[in-house]
Amino acid sequence: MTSVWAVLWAVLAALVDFRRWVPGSWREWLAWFLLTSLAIGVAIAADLHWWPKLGPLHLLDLAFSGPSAWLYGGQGVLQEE
Amino acid sequence: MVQVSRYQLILMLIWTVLGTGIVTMPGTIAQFTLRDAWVAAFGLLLGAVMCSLVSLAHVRLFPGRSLTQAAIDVLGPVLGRMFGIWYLAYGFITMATIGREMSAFIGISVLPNTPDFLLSAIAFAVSMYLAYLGIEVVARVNEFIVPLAAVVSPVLFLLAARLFDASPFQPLLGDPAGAAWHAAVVPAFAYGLEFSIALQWVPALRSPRTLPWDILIAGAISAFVLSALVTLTVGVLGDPARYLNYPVLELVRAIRQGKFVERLDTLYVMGVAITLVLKLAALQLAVGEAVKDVSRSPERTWIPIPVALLGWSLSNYLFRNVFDVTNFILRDVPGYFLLTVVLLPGALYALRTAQMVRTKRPRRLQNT
Amino acid sequence: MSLEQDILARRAAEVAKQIAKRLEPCPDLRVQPWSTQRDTGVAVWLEGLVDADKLQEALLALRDSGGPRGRREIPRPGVATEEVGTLSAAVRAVLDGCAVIVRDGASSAEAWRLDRVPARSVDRSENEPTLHGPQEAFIESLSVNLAMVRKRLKSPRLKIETFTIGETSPCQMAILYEEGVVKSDLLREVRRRIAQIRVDYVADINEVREFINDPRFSVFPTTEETERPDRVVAGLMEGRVAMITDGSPTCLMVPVTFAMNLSSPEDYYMHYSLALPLRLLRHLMFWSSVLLPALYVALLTYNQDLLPTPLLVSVAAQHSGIPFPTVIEALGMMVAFEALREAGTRLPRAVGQSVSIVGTLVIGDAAVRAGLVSPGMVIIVSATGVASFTLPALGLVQAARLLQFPFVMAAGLFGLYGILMLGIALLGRMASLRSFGVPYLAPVAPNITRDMKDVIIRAPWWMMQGRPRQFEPVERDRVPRHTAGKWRRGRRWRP
Repeated sequence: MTSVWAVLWAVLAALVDFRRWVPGSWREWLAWFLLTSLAIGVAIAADLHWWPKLGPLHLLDLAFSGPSAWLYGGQGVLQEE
Repeated sequence: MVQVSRYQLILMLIWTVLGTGIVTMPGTIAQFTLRDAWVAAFGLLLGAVMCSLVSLAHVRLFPGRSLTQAAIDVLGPVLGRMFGIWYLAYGFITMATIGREMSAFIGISVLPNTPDFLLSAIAFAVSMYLAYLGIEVVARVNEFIVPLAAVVSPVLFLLAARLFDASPFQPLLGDPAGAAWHAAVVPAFAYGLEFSIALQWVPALRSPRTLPWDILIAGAISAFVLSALVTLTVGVLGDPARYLNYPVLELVRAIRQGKFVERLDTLYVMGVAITLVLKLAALQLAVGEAVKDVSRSPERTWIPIPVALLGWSLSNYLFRNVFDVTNFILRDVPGYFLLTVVLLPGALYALRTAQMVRTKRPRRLQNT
Repeated sequence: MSLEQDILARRAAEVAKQIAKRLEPCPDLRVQPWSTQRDTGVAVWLEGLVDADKLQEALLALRDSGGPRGRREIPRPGVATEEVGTLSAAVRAVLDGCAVIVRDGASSAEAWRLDRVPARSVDRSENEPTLHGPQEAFIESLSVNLAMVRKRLKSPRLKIETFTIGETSPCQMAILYEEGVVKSDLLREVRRRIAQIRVDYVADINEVREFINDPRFSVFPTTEETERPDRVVAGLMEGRVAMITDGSPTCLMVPVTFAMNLSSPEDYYMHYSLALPLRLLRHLMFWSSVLLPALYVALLTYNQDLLPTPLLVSVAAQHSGIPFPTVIEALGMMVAFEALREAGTRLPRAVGQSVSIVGTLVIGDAAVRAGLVSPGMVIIVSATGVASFTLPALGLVQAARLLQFPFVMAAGLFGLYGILMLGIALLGRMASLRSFGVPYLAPVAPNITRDMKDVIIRAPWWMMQGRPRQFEPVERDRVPRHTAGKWRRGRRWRP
């Protein structure tokens, strides 16, 4: 006999389908953990207004502003703004 | 077996590129040139051609494999995964850029009192749900909104066309070629190269061999639509288009027809929000595929939540305001995207060809 | 039960006792001895289920019949008979409305089908009324319903397979299809799903529906329910499968798409040009019945700029003095409207109508006068109700009734943006649904251009030579191509 809790559980599981959200193997768990902890860390950093001097955007800027400027056809183009 | 038809693929690509394209591209183009703005929009086609060439090599060398799978095939598990992680970083940063553009746009235009992170959280949640349902569903939702867009956009176009004035374009092609090129860089290298995310969808395509053509078709349609939009914007708004963050929004605000049809901008914002969510979902599918390959997982249902979560928190963290986003797109994205989706895959294909030549040569010697 | 107990006794009176023992207490069980020149025995039946006059006639005919002594079978007085070899089969036959005729000394008995199961006569369709076209509707008898389909579809390729479902009370169920048209995979899938049904008894075909449905918990109808035989025949000719159970006046058809739920049989019975505006209206009304209150809340709470100024001033003036926030006002009105609608359905028809009128006119007016709700809200909520009444499929009406509540809440939280986000999620959900393998949003998404001629527009019949591709029929053309040409050229027949 199916209990009412089992029915509610089945409805919830079918609607939200959370059983399929859960990673299966240890590799999946590892990837899940890495991505989620990074997301939480970044969210906390944003909430605490913790922006280091050399943030990810600065790094990208250091690496790619030169090649991009070259694509524009010269160094001085973007300085005009 | 998940299969996406050519028609669906072309639509997905168009919405993916035009999703943010119609919000930001007219503004970035107008910063450099007004007179040649309509030509600059065709820069999108340049990006499409590059992506098409890359995909041509891809579908010939790696039929039925995604880009990250191809990297693992060629470079081996360690180096291949490092490429995968590089690609993931590209995917997450792109997602964050779109998320931030969207929350800022919605926040400024429709919901000024709601925190931006909440607006992007909802968009990420919905796109996560779509990505969770799979590429086939995302493709169908793209397909479903086409008739709506086909009815609404021509009406907006026609209503705005009444205010069109050709003088900002005269004399035709009057600006120096350099200005037009500067204006075309962002459409070509920041948005046109986004067509390359189709490489991650290759395993789900019904006819992967036609991918290069499909990218070209999508590129041509997008470039044409964008050019028409930019022309209209500059023609209606004139010189002020140069100083506006969202010139198309102002264009729609300018539409007035009698006393009843006015302030259609909210409707326009809602239309853009749909395409942005679809774009986010399309990107999450590509990133999810990369996560799947890097973590060597057979399942993809567990992936959307952490991917959406990270995309959302990055969008809040990386870009504090719209200026950060625009600056990033103008200064860094062209070089970054060119390296990630054209040069690195190009190197990958060259390596593969070399590997193939090397394995074929001894056999030929044996045969002789 | 052991096998020994299931064997019929050799003496007829003993058999009657065995049956009575199984059914006890059973005041409506009748046992009547009979005899011929050579044989003696008893007849056992349930009063009320068997036509008593016919039975007596048959027993008389049996008595008068001759024949050589020692012939094994009982002479058959012109009724359908069936041999029953076990006690349980005999009991089942009695319960099924047969008279069981037992002969002394025989190892088996015979069940005479003389049933007179109480049933109503064929009547007009109440739930799917149309102005034009056939009017009759199914009743609760499987054989009558099958006959009604046969009457319309006189094709030797119409195949009917029967199944028995229900462990305690076996119920006959039939699946109908047009052989050579229906896709074999679809048929196999229907059979497979029916074979998995485990119930003690079947009260209505809805039980079958819930067992065989694709999504277990979706509010959207992924099977078509109809009480019209003409609609069933049309479906069969498209390559779909129909299911009818004994005791239910509703027929299930699979597969079904969202767009089909918004087409009415009437579209096919009147001029094709009228179908376009009516279908457009229905599509509009479906989305109105889901979104109208939510849009009103969003426009009043967040997106006032979308309203033209004179309209905004008027609506805002109406709302001033109302003690509730718009979203609460909307939810309250919607719940009240649903209560009235439910009352109107449950009460006897005459009373139900007056309750609806009293509810909408008197209470609504009083609430507005008392300043509890704004007149605009009353208009919106009633317009939503009216919009849902235009939908031809009851399943879709229920879906719209349920869905309007989350949309109002989303509008209360985030205005148009909330509606839009929930709308995309809903669209995603709908796009992910399938009905027996057919995508629910077909032929729009995925796009099947050929089938678009019967979604928003209804092409004239002479242009609908092909069967809908979305069901992947084996025979793609309704009539062979060489004869179809004549029809296509039919326009030239005009003098």
